[in-house]
Amino acid sequence: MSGARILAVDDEPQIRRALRRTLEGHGYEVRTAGTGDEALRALPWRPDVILLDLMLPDLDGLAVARRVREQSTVPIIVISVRGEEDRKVQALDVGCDDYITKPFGMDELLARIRVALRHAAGQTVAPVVQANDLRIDFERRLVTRGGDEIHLTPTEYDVLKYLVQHAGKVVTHRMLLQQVWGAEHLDETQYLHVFMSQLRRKLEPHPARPQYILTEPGVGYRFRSPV
Amino acid sequence: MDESQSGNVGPERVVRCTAVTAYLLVALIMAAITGGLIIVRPHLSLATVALIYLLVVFLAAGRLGRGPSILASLLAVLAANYFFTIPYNTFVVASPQDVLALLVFLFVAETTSRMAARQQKAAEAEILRKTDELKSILLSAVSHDLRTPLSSIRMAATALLQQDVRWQDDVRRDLLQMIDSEAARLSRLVGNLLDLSRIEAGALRPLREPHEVQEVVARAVDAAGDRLQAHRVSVDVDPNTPLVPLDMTMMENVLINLLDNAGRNAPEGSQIRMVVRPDGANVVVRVENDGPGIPPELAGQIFNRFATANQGRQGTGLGLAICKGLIEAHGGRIWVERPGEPGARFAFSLPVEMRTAAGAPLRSAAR
Repeated sequence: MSGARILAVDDEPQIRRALRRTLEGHGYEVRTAGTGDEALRALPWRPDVILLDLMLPDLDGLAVARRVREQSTVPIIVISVRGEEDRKVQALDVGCDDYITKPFGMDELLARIRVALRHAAGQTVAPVVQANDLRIDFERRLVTRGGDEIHLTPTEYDVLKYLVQHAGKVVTHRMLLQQVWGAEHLDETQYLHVFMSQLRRKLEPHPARPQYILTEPGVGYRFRSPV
Repeated sequence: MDESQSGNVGPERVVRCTAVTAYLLVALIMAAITGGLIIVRPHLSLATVALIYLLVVFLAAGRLGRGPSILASLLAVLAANYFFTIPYNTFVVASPQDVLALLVFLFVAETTSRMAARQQKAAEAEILRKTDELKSILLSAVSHDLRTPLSSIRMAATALLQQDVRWQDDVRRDLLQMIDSEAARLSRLVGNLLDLSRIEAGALRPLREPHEVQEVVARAVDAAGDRLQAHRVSVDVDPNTPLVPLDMTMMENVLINLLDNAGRNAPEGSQIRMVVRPDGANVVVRVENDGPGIPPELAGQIFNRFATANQGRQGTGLGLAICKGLIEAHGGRIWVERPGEPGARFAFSLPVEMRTAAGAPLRSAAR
């Protein structure tokens, strides 16, 4: 058990109670906050992960995220609801690390928390990443599936590399465009759709039902975390 | 639709003239005015008569539409010629002036009725737009309210299903209790929505029987209790409070909504006070908390659908609207006391005697 500290920020007392009960059961140390102000006041407690609902009675959740980022790089997982895609993307763009959509199951939440903790621990990506029969060797710039080499264009390789470096976390369209194509192409999401479809055709056994590169509708993509 | 059928009385009025009555009305008004004008004929110039008729045509066009105002124009020209052009009481051979007058009347009739129709259409479109807006606000509010208990239920259930944790007995019990109480909350929300649609349809029929107010209060506190764990609830009922004819289920719902509202807005650990007092022909129930209070500008409209004092969008604002509907169906009244001061205090009164048939609102409910 990690015993990591989790700050859960949600305006609904019932959700706070459920989060506290379940996360404590998993050995985490939990503090809860019902308002943005309380959340900011809890920062000196030095949480390892913040779960942040965007809908708060006082400060906007986005404002809270910005204020947290001014003083800390603690991973922030946004708790959102369907239909809030715009705000979700904004939250990720101001530096939140991931999001989870209500109503969520505990397995999903725990998996997100583990990924966030792993990334925060600064675990650099191993030189070789293996996910099922897919193998990516960053040192040799070599991608193979079931032993067969897959030929990727330089851009396809860059996209894949960025996704794998953030395995398990959501990567927004903007983040990918900025990273691979540069700041002047931030709005050209059609690039991404084209390259993703090419990449999936090369990597995925069933490109229509991808198991490596998952779509986060309206937000971006997520490389399934290798187990 | 022909404007004459719509009656052109503006969207807020329900009076609608059928085509025939609108034409009859115009004929009657023209007859009455002409009769009146004939009496004072020696003192009138033809120009004055023409202006008065023009006014009638103008009003007919605005209120009744194009067809009736054209009838008014024709009648006006004929009457002016017959009764007010020398020699009186004869038709003078049509002069170019008459044709010109008729054209002017027709022009006024046409443009005015057209403008009125356009205005009415714009007003109708505005109403439609507002209805649409309300619907989408309702949808997003309801989905937020439904999602919150769903989230707690799913979290607790999936936690219990996990095989890699051995939950301690008290935690397991707490999680199960959470599932139970949140399911009850969901069911209450659905009940609220049903009540709301009944209130809106005017189909609310309270089953009023004499009850101890204390009993209703106790039941509501029990039902809302699980969500008020973080608060202390005090109940103070005057022993002289008479029995009140009320629908137990509905009144319980009112109190739960008020308690729920208090629980959401008051800081954890604070006290929520319920006070019941007889007050003349009424019993007054007050529910107050130590939350931020209701700003004065909101006090009047907080019982409207979707009004909520905080911007965090906690709650739909449906609860208070439902309280108002249910209380009014009992012939009572609900209001905010001491708005603008910290600590919200909601009060409602219920008449002790069944002075009206069930469901008929009683305007004279005293404070």
